[in-house]
Amino acid sequence: MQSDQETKWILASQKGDVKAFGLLASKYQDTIYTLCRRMLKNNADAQDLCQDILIKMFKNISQYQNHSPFGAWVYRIGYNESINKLRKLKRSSEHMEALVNEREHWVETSNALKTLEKIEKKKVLIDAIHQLQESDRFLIMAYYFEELPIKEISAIIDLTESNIKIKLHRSRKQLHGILSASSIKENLI
Amino acid sequence: MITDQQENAFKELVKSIGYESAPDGMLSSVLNQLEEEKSISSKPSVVIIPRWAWVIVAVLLIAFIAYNFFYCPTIDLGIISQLDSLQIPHYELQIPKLFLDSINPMIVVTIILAVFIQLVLIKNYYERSL
Repeated sequence: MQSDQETKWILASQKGDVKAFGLLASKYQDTIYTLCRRMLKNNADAQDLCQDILIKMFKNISQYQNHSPFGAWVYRIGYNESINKLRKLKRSSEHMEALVNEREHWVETSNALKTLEKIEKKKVLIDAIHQLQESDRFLIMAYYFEELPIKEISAIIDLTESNIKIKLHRSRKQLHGILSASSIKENLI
Repeated sequence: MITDQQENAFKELVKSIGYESAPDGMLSSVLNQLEEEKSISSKPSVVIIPRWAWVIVAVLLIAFIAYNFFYCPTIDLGIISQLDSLQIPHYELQIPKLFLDSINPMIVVTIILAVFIQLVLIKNYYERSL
């Protein structure tokens, strides 16, 4: 559960206080932005999505009930908005071209930074996550990165807990497969 | 079968990506947008047709019906009854005479008030769109 201070911000935001919402949002903006960057490959799209999520949060904050963690509620909005955005982008062929360009650029950048092991590792890992399916990407972020309980994730993506465990196992295996070709392999086995 | 050790290693690996900092100014631009939307929604909307205009319209309508009922028991077709005098295609029509014959004070008052209400309506419409 959230701190008293956070509860105060939530209550004030529910009454339409934009300043209180600003304080609340500043606490979660990096979480939201990171999720957006993992769900969408294009940086500009991720930024747009992040703004949409923040606006949606303010408009729907009156619906938030205190019985679940606020972070999980934020993740739920993030998930729904990401899926909507991905659907819209899939319809746009221009976006597909942008993705291809970005990927090419990424490979070049990645090669140039080979000596910087830490940076490369991070990029390889992000790239591997991007190769997963949308829902698997979200599961990896929610479960491993944010460490949300499976019960919360189940409420967010509307799947049973056992289904989530199966999907998590599958995505983990897939991620292992993708990473097996990289230098990260030895860290996992 | 994945062991707990591997599971933890995997978790650490995913967590090692770390958070990405949201771009500078992104939150403030969102907050400005929300403030703007809030100020627009809290602004009282201008009524295009005020209540008093509806009262005048209702009174006029009732007065018009009453006038026609009490003072014009026979059906007077006005301009239409004089269509015979048009004698088309000879064009012997005297428009000013025809118009003035059919006019009565009630119609004049109604027209003036209708124009006045129209002007108020247009004024309010433009005030609202500004």
